[in-house]
Amino acid sequence: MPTLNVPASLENLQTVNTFISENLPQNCEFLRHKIELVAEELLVNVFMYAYEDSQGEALVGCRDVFFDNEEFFCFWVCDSGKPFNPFLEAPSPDLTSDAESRPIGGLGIHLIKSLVRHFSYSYTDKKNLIELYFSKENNE
Amino acid sequence: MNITVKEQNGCCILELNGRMDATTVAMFEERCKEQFEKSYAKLIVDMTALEYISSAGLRGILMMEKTSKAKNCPLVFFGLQPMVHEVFKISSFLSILKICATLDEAINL
Repeated sequence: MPTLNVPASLENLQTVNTFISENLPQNCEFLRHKIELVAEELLVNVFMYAYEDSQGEALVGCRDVFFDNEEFFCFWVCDSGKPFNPFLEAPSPDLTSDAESRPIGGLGIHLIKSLVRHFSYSYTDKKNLIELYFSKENNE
Repeated sequence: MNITVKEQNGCCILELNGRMDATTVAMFEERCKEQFEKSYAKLIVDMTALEYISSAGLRGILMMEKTSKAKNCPLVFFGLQPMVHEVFKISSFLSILKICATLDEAINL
């Protein structure tokens, strides 16, 4: 299974994008920007919040999954920072206020939830693991 | 991301090329802030060649939209590509930003 170690620093996002391009199945090119987006959102969170004092790292990976009779491309991110389930703990974004009163930020997890078919979080062996499932069927 | 700054009909046009993400959004904010100081009738952002945007990009755009309101200088976007359009739609940005299909429409808005 392809994996990549990513030191917690923004300049490594390009390395992750290269990893995604190299491992994306040929018939899933339509997913490339979506996967780059969720990778950036999750990794920026890890880089900014997971490690309070130390310079940590994240491990990313991907695999094909057959799940409930459907083909998925699964992209995952694992880190050893403090336990954090963003799907429960990240605040809901304000999607209704006008521009002047709308708070800045808070859209990353909302974007992920909107773009994937399934998302999961687990904390095992002192590691956070987030798995995101993209349908390999192109409905666009 | 590369940004080219042009002037047309008293408007400033910022042509974005590439990706607006956590590593490049600061450049967009800097260019916008510079142009907001120059008393243009409006700032127009050409997104025709912007292939990717993340929540970091959205953060910068919302900040610049707030600045535009404070400076009383309209900020208008045009040429949204499918990925950018989808991210704007999911984030409910289509309803709070001025978005046009073409440069002409943006100039005449």
